Amino acid sequence: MKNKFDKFLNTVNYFVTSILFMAMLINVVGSVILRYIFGFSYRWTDELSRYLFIYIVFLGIPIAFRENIHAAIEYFRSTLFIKIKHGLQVFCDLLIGITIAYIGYYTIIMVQGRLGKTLSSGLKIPMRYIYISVIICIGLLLIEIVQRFISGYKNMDSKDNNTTDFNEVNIK
Amino acid sequence: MSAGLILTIVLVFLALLLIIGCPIGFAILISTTFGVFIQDLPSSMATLRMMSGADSFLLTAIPFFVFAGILMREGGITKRILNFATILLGNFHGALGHVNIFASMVFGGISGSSVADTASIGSILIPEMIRKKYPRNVSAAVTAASSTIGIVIPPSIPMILYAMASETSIGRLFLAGAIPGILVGLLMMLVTAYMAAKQGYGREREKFPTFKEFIVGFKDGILALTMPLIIIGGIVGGVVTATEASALAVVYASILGFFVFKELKLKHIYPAIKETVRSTAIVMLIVVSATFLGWMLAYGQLPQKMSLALLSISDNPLVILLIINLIMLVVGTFSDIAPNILILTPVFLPVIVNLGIDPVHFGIIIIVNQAIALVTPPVGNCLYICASLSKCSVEKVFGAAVPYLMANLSVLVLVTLWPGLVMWLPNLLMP
Repeated sequence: MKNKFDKFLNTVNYFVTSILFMAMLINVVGSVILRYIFGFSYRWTDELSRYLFIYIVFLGIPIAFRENIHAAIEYFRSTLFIKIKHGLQVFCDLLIGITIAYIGYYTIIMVQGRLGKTLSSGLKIPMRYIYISVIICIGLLLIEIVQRFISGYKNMDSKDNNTTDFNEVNIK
Repeated sequence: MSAGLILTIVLVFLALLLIIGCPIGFAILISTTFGVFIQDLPSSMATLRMMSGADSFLLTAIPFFVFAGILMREGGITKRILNFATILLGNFHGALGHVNIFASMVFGGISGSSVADTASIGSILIPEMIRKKYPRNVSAAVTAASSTIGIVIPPSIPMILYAMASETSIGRLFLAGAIPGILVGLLMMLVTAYMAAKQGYGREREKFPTFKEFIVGFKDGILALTMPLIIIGGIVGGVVTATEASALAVVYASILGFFVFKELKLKHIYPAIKETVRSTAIVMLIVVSATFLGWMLAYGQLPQKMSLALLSISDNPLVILLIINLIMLVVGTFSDIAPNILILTPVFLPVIVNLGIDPVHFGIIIIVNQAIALVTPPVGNCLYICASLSKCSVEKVFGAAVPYLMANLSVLVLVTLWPGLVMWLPNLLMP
C-alpha cells in the first residue's frame, strides 16, 4: 500500500508543478501583453519559460510513473500469464532503478563541476539550479521504485486492469 | 568496439525492452545509457542530452495546447460541436457517421492530439450510434479512424515534435497540414455515404433545420473554429510565436468556458492542470529520452549510413519516399507515434534534404503516415480506446476501419506524389 509519506510527496509535487505551470502561463501571456500594449519586452521571458517547463517536465515524470501511465507497448505483455507479467514488471523497474541511479550519480558530479557554476544567459542563474531538477526527478522515481518493492507490487494489478482512462488527454 | 556494433546492441536491447512492456521512454533511456556505459562514453551525456531535449521554447507550447483542449472539453464544447455538426449534416443518410467525422475535423482544430479527440467524441457518440442501431464495430471504427485527422489539422503536437526534430518552421507545418487534413475528412465522408447507401443507415433528422436552429448552432461552431484561426492567424501573421499562440488559446478557451458557455467552474481548473502535467510528462519523457538516443544514433552515424543505403537503391525522390513511407508504416504499427517521429526524422532527413524535398512537405508525409498507425493493431491507441468504448473486439473494429483507412492511405499517396497540395498554402501565406 501507498504510505502517507509517498502520498504527501505526490500531493506536494502536483501542487508545485501546478504553480509552475500557472507561472509559465502568466509569463507568456504577460509578455505578449507587455509587448503589444506597453511596447516593451524582456529578454529573459523565453528563458524563464524554458526553465519552468524543464521543472514541470522533470517533476511530472515521477507523477506519471507513480500512476503507471507512461506510454508502453502493452500488447505483447498482455498475452502473458500474470506471474510472468509481474516478473517482467519487477525486472523493468529494477533496470530503470539501476539506470537512473547511474545517471543521477554522474549528474551530481557534473553539477558540482564547472558546468554547475555557469550562469544562464538571460536570468544569470547558475545552471546547477536547472540541472537539480533531473536529480529531484531521479530521487522521486527511486522512492517510488523502492515503494513498489516494499509493497510487493500488490497495488499494481488494479492499475494494470484499467490502463485506459478515457478522460486522460494523452498526447499521441 | 565499433560505433556501428554499439548501435546494434543498443537497438536490439531497446526492442527487447519494448516487447516486455517497459515504458517506451525508460526503455530508450536504459538501452542508450547501456550503450554509453559499454562504449565508455562520457557518463554525463545522458543528463546533458535529456536537458537539451527539454530545453526548448517551442515545446513549452505542448502543455498550453493540452490545457486549452481540456478547458474546451470541460467548458462544454464537445456537445456544442456535435450539435453544430448534426444541424449541418443530420439530413444525410448515415448522419451520425458524417457528424462523427465532421466533429473530428473541428476537434482537430482545437486540440493537438488524436487520442484526446477519440476520448471526447467517442464517449458521447459511440453509445449514441449504437443506440441508433449502427453496428458496434462500425461506430467504433468511424470514431477511431476519423480522430486521426486531429494530428493532421493544426494545431498538432506531433507536428511540434517534428518541427523540433527537423528545425522546420512550425507555422508553415501547421498551414501545410490544413488541406490534407480536410481532404482526409471529406474522403471519409464519401466512404460513409457509400456505406450508408449500401447498408441503409438512417438520417438523424427528417426536417431541415430552421433558420433559428441554424444560427444558434452556427454561433457555437464559429466560436469553436475561432480557436485554430487565432493560433494559425497569430503565427502566420508574425504577431506571436507558436508558444505565445498556444498560451493565447488557453486564454480564449477560458473566456469561452467561463463567460460565454458558462459551464467552466473554478473547481475544474486544478484537475485540469494536473491532467496537463501528466500528459506533458508522458510525451516529454519520450522527447528527452529520444533526444539522448538521437545523439547515440548520430554517434553511430546512422543518418549517413541510412542516406547511403537509400541512395544506393535509387536517387529518384519518389522511390525513396515510397521506401520511407513503407518503413514508417511498418514501424508505426509496432511503435508509438511520438518516438517514431523524434527518432526517425533525424535519420531520414539528410537524404530528404539531399534529394531537394522540402522538409515541410516531408513532415506532412510523416504525420499523415503516422496518423494511420493510430488505428492499426497491435499498437494503435485510438483503435483500442474505441474498441473498449464500444465493448467490441479490436479485430472487428479494425475490420470495419479498413475502408476508412483507405481514405488515409489515398491522402498519403496524394501528399507524397503531389507536393503542391501540401506546399500551396504555406507558400501562399508564409513564403
